[in-house]
Amino acid sequence: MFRKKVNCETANLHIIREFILSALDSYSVPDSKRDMIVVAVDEVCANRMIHSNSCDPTKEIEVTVTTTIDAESVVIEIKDNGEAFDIKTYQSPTINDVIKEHRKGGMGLRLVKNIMDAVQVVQVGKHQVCRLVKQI
Amino acid sequence: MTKVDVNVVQESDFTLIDVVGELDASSSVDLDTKLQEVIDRGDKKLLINCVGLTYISSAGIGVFTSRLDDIEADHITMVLFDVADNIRSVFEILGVDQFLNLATTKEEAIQIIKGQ
Repeated sequence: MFRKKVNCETANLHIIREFILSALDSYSVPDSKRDMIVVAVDEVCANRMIHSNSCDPTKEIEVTVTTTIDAESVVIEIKDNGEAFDIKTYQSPTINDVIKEHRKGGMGLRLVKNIMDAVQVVQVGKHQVCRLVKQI
Repeated sequence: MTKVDVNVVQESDFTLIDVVGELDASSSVDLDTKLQEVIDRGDKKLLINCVGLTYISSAGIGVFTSRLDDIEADHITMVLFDVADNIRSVFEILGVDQFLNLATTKEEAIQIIKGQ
């Protein structure tokens, strides 16, 4: 298992990306798949930092990377103490709406759902945990 | 800290914007600011050189998509060229490749600009 903790500042997103790249290389994930998983993790972490933790540098976000027991999938967990997010009720805007409304955001979760095989959000004690799974 | 360098060069027929580095939720504001400056001064033909762009997240894509409506209304042509495969894949996953002018090379991008 690989583990990394950073403060909730978007300036730290590149540290998480480098960590994920390194961890996925250890599991011999093909480059094209690896690059997309990095995007998905980056999107979740950016959302958690900005929307659930108000970019508060005194708060932390922890990312762990492991595989399923059969080693067929990689499992990434993003854990923090920020506000809960209901992924089931959130509706990502369409790309047409994003363009029409001149929005700079709103596409991140669509990316995550399209890249990963499974996206789960659970509460574990005081922590919010987003679990991403991708077959490798 | 994530860094992106944005270099604007005024050529005779178009404005060339070199983007080097990674565009994420932290750094995309740098490109956003430079692109708005170019648009505000009235430049109508924009070539975005992506050869040095190694990463993009939805925040980086938002810099382009948030302006597509205004770009069309203001008769501005914006072409991105030399886009790496990993970045093109992100465009395709979201479907924004259907809305962006993407060229393989600078020469092809110039042809698109001239054709407008």
